[in-house]
Amino acid sequence: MSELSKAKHNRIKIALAGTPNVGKSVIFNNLTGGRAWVGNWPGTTVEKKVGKMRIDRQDAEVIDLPGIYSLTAYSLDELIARNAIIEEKPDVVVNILNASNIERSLYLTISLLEMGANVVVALNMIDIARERGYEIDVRKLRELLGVPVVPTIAIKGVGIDELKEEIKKACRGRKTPELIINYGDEVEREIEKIISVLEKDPALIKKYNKRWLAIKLLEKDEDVIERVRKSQVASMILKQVEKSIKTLEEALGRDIEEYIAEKRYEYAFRISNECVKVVREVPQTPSDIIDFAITHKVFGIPIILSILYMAFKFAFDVATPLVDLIDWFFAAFLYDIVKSSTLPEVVKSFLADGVITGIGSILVFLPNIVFLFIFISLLEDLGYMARAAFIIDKIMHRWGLTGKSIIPLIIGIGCNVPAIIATRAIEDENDRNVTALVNPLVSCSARLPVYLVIAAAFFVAYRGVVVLSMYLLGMLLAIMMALLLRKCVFRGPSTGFIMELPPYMTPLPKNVLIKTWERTKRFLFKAGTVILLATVLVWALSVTGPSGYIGTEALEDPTLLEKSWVGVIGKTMQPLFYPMGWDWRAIAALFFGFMAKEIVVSTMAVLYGAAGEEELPKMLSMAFTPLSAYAYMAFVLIYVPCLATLAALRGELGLKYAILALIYEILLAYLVALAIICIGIPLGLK
Amino acid sequence: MRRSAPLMHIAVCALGAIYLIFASLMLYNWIITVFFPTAKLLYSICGVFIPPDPGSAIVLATTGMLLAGSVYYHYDRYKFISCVLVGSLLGSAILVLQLLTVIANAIDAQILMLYGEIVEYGLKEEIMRPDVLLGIPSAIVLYNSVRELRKQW
Ligand SMILES: Nc1nc2c(ncn2[C@@H]2O[C@H](COP(=O)(O)OP(=O)(O)OP(=O)(O)O)[C@@H](O)[C@H]2O)c(=O)[nH]1
Ligand SMILES: [Mg+2]
Repeated sequence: MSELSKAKHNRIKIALAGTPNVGKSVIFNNLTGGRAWVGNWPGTTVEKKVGKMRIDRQDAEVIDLPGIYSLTAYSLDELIARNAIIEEKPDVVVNILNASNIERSLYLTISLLEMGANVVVALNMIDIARERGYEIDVRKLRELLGVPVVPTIAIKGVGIDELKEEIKKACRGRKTPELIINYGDEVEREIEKIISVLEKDPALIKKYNKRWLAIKLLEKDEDVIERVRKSQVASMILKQVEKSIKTLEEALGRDIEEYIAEKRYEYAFRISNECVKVVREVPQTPSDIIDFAITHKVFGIPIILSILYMAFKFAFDVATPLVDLIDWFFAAFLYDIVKSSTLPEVVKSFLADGVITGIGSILVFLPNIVFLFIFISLLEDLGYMARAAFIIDKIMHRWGLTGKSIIPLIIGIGCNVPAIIATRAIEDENDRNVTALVNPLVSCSARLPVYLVIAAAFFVAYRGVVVLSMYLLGMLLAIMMALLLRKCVFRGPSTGFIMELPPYMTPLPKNVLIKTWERTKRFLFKAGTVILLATVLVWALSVTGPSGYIGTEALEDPTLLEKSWVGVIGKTMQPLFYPMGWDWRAIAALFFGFMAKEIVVSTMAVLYGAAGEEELPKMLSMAFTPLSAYAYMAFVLIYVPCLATLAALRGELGLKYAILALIYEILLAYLVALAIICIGIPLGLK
Repeated sequence: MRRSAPLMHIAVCALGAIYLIFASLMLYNWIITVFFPTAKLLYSICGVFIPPDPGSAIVLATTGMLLAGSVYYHYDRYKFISCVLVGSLLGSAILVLQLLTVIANAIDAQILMLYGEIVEYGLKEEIMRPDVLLGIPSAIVLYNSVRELRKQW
């Protein structure tokens, strides 16, 4: 035990800190060979991620952190970053600056240096700075900051070797000189006074830099105050701090916190002024020019719709041959092999009508899902997703909702679980709760098989649009629910939000493939675990009933199937859905779909005895009408968050809210499905 | 250059208008198929098939709006180029997607033969569509506006 903790203690720790979206995760991947998630928008990383790097034949721990602008934390992800730096005291902090916006990045650098951290600066994105016509005097910057500065282009690997070298030097014990900003005579005097009281607690000043501590106390940093409270001389310190603040605010005639921040900004401005030269006047960058039309108040939304539609066209139409190939493999090839084998009847039925039919019915959609993931990853890396968020923010803002909710909602299109975790980037607790609670309404990729099966039965010619309409319905309901929750449950003012639009970038094939693979992996894992188990369960409940074993013929004979357990479940629930006119087998599928929404499809495949992507739609076209099928799709979209999503909600918000989500979604799903039927019939739809 | 500018405006605007017209025709056909199944469809105009596809209609309408709307910003070079660029990008993108779809369908027909299924698919209808035909001038406009933009950097 002690051995282990000692080894842990001795390991060199390197933390990556910087403003959001400067390329920390790319540098992390470069240093460690890891696969941290990289995306062209602020708030991609919301948890710390640890990797390894070799330094002098020793393993060093490299930590990727969420982006921060300063060491004052407002949101959960910022708190994670701040604690990793202040509490865990890494041996080296690699501070990554955005070369195209040094002034904004330097505030954090200054805070780090004041803290006495051992800093190595990576000046990233110099390619973008050049594109904008800036040239940066690296030597000057090095001189002014007093720390090594390495220019890098992380995505191309430029400067990474030099950066590694500098990190190694820093690890070997080269120490950064402490930065002392002169805050003016009055403030300096008070800082001195506070330091002299702090010195009464040697343990405290051994742990933290005393000058930094004094300044933070003057800034009324709550977290630091909490820490100081644990000291034996806490009351003395806090009394002195209170006195100093009072004296200073009287002398300066203003808020001391603001004053100190301003001094730091001034300092940052001075440095950037001295180091950044504008070598070329660039009136407007290509990004700016393109953004005029992309974020236009009239064109913006139609462009989003067009791109979404194209995503679906790409995912559905272009992937067709692969779908058919997989379908052939499961429904014809494997199925026939098993059926024509000499295994006992029960085993044959279990394998063919249960496992192969069930899993096959999901896996045929793998190409569609992969293609959609590719498209989404491309849009993300290109920087379009950030624009989409910006446009929707303009609308949401008018309704009193924060635009920060948008990014988690967009991430939800891939999967709701990471989306709910991404809400950590939202500062305001009410906003965060609401965003997480409405997130399951966003249509994730697990719903796709359901839409595609039903679309293949009824809406072949325009399945792209039908699926698009589901995504829009989900988004719309999410926004409406957010408004409702904000008005009724989580009342309070909403925080403002300024979205920084990152420049457009050519997506890197490697990064797109990694992201697509990571997302696909989750889908495959689900298919091999939850979906497989559920399929086995459904098969078992179909061949048995209250009267015991009824035989595998049940899967071919609907009247016999009604006597099975599944039949009992479906038939019992059927009266509830009387207005929608759904078949009891479809209703039983909803029951099992609670585990994961793909299971709705695999269950239907088993219950309708339809192997393959061709046959199931054929069976469904007899069981539904187009209108009732559309209502069914909407119901599946909304009705319950899947188990994984519920677990994520529980983890982030607590059990109470997870249950709240469960209840409101069931009610909402029922209402929406009913509304679709009630509106559709008078319109002459069937 | 300066003299050709109005001509460019007119050409882009006209292309945008054609996009809008075809978008509304497609939408019209779709509404007919869904709500009035007994009424007659506008199957084709001058050899151009009008699929009842509301999704493509959205893309065509957006492209048309951007191209035609760009003229509204004729006084500002950047704004004008921005609209033309994004509009023609959409127009070209849907062209590429439709061509990919055609190729995919052709491959698919081969795969379906594994089942012994013979599928007929109308190549002509897949290609003589407004999104494909209009995509060609769109791609030319895209090429030109990218070149125009390049000149600056
Ligand atoms: N042009 C250019 N792009 C870069 C460079 N470094 C990173 N990027 C891109 O910048 C974007 C953001 O990179 P990330 O590594 O996700 O940024 P991050 O700092 O981890 O962002 P958060 O986790 O959101 O705080 C990605 O699209 C990268 O491809 C660079 O040197 N040049
Ligand atoms: Mg990151």
